[in-house]
Amino acid sequence: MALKPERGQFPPVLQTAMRFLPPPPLGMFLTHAVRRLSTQRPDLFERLGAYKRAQFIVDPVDLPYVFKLVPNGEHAFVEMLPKAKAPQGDAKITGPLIVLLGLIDGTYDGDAMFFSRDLVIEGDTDAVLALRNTMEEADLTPAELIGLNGQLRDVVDRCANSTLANLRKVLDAPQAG
Amino acid sequence: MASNLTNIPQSMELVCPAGTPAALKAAVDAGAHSVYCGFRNETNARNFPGLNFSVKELRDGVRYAHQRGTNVLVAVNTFARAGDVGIWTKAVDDIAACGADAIIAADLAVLDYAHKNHPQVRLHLSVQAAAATPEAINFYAQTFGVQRVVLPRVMSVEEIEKLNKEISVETEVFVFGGLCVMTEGRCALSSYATGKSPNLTGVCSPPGDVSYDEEGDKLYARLGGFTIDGFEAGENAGYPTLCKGRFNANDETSYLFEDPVSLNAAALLPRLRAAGVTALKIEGRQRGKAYISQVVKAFRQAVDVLDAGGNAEAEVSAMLNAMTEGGRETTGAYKKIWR
Repeated sequence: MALKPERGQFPPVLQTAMRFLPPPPLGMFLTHAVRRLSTQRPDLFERLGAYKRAQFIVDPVDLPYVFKLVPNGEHAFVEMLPKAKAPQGDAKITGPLIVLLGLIDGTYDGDAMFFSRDLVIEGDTDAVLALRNTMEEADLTPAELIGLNGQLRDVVDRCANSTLANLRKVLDAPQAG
Repeated sequence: MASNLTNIPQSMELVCPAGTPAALKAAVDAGAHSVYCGFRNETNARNFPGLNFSVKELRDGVRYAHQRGTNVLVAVNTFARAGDVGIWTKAVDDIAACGADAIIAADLAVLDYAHKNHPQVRLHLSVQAAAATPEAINFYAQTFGVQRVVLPRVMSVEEIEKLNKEISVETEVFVFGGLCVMTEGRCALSSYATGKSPNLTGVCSPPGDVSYDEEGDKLYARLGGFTIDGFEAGENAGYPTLCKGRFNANDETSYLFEDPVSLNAAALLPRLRAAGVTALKIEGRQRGKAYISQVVKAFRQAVDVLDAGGNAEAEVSAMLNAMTEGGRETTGAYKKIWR
């Protein structure tokens, strides 16, 4: 793996501890979030074109799990799997969790992260590019991802953004754009 | 006759990339005087998966930009297919209907169609036309009413200054971003490796033909099965564009055409202004909104400081340090110290 060692990653002791914790039920939650997004923003899934049926493996290098994503609109699903059971998929995106989250909310530029080797992509580059450009357009905020609206959304986003910014500092993550 | 672009109080207009509606908003909000974009098909030279605009997205984008005093320029800058020009002429019609401020085109048929059918919309000659001589540029101006030419990235500042004295149209030059070292519109390297090119299908080194392979400690970047470069652990990676590959020749491994560096002409803004340049173009419609926002802010600051009589080169360079391909930058051909 060509990732720069430990930059932006959880400390090794925390990574080890997470291996012994029961996995949170994130797959079902994220499946619901992506399907909800497909009804609210169908344009995003048009942007994916044929790649909405592709199988993306998102591998946070500092977590013991991978996420398998098929972003097929209302039939989309996200599955969280132990690393040992990760399928090959059509395309794989690997990086520290904090960098992957920064790509979703637009904190980081995907090209810059790739050139600096903070991010590794494998498999169908067309599919990765389609997903990356769609995520860019989605401009998702943390509150949007969990389906919040109104004033509560602003509060949650402010808290989440501040927490993530602090986490980036603590983990010595790449500088945000 | 098409009108002049409005809302440009500065001495030089900052023209910024927008690969998606989100990037358009980022560019506008960061202070772009103009943004350029294209439709989601092979009519524009950045036809990458997931990128570009639908007609509705362009209409909404024009409204957003105009409400904030920013112009929208739309590229229809690939070369139309013989016997099948329908999507190119439709693109031109759609741009006019959306109320965009200018069409950026290279193909004679597209220029002719736009000039005859939508004379109220400004025509800019795309860099894809590779027009760098007074004779060629004046021909486009006289024949199609072209009001601006985007110059190829192979000219020095002195050559641009001389050219500006011999033409009647505005000039736009690239100042930041990926550096195409060939004369645009005439490069067939991508076609050799993949069968696709920016000129006809809108993609240089198409991502579908790109692979990154880990072998031992090295990462190899390949295009159409050809190894273009290899990177040691910890070394910055690059996109496998053929002209920026590292090859073995005469028992030596080197970048045969040009190093994978980004153009940064921030230091040359005063000289470009003195050379009579109207507009400064930032490359990068394939880049994300974080990048767009940072680069546009930096260059807008540079233009503002320049107009106030200062020079923001150091600050701009610091702001842009992490945004360049391979982490390195060059002033390209503008200074002619370039290989």
